[in-house]
Amino acid sequence: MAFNPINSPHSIERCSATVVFSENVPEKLLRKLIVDLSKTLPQGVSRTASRAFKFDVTTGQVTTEVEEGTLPGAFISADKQNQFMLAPNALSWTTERYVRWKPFVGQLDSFFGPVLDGVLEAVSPQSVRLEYSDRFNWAGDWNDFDVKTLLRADPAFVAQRVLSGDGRWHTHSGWFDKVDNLRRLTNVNIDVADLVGPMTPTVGIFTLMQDEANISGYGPSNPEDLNKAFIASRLENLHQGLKKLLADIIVPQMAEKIGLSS
Amino acid sequence: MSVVTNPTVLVADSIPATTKLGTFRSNDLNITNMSIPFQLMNWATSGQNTQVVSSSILRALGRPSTPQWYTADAWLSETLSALRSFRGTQSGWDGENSHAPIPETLDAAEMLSAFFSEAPADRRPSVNVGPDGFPSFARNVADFYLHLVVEPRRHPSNCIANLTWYAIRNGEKVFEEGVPFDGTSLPKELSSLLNSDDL
Repeated sequence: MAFNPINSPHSIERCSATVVFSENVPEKLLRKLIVDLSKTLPQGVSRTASRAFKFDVTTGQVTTEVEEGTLPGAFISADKQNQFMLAPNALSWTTERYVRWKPFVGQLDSFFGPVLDGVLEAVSPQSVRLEYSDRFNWAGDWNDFDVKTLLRADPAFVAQRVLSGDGRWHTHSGWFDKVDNLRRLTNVNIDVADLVGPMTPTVGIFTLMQDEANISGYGPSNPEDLNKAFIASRLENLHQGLKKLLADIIVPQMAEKIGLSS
Repeated sequence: MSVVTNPTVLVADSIPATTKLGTFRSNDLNITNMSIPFQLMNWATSGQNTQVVSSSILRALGRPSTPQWYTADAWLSETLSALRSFRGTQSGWDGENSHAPIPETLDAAEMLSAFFSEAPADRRPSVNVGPDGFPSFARNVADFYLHLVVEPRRHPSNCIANLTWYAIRNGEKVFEEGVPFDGTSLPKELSSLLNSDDL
């Protein structure tokens, strides 16, 4: 029995890129940019109702608000495989149609490029984040399940205790590094669980890296360097970092199977 | 509730430590698979206002977790599988005198599929590999015909392949030959052909 990556050429079921701004985009500008964004998104994408909760800390009362056309601007494709967000302090694209890195960054630029130009006239990027959710399904059942055929024998990201349980487990790792005078957050979550429906094992590996500028103790960034080119270069750097990270988690044979070295 | 002065902490106190916020389809960009303490720490240091944080958490709690079944786009899955099936094939793969596909053209075809997957469903073309070893995409429906061939790049440049296509849209015939494709965007003419609303 063996693991199968969830997609034919790779194992990525979801990929998300997020840019967080140093401060909120002014509301008037944001409303205009949300309209602009709606024109650059693919056909079949519609804006979703904005749902919010409000707290009154003096009474403890919680109220729910569902309004059409309020901030932030959230858009979703009809099949829910693409989600776009332009919030006062961030923008984000999450897709379940990831194919390869080149088209991903190209599409990100075509969807958000014009809007980002407008955003960066008012605020600077504070952090850039890239996330991958990879999934591998076991071809057998729990009786013959062997997670070591997917994860490296000496996994740095798995607490040893979880391996002596009944086979289903979750582990979480997160840490900070200093990279290019930025604070890099790295996050690794691994879930071994049942697929819904058939009770067969599946392994989900969530990896995230986020580079954040001007964090005390990590060094300063020149304000003039925090521009569109900064976002593009950090995305590329994060992509390479996440590829190496996944290669450190899974066995070399699977890394080759999903084209991690290409 | 031990702390009532800060809504963020108040909400955090009310969430079981094992609650996971990141396994659902959220339209909130700040929800990830990170643990709650990690998310809160991240939020707290990222200058988010507490109302956004609180709303995010409550939205997460109010939704069921994502089914673990991942439903891939059927057209995209079939296209990528078809292309993958041609990887490593040798000359004569069709039992006659066919040429082996060049890996770079298969790579380019994969990248094209990322863009085609964003086109309206009735214009997404089917993939094939011809006896010349070149991947091709074709679609023939009312008022729309497309036959596109992915050819090896002709000149050293940042392009990864050249595209040649013949199309008929609303009776208008279009032929483009050897248009460079760099993998990051569709040639403008092709994008217009696939995505314009004038059909």
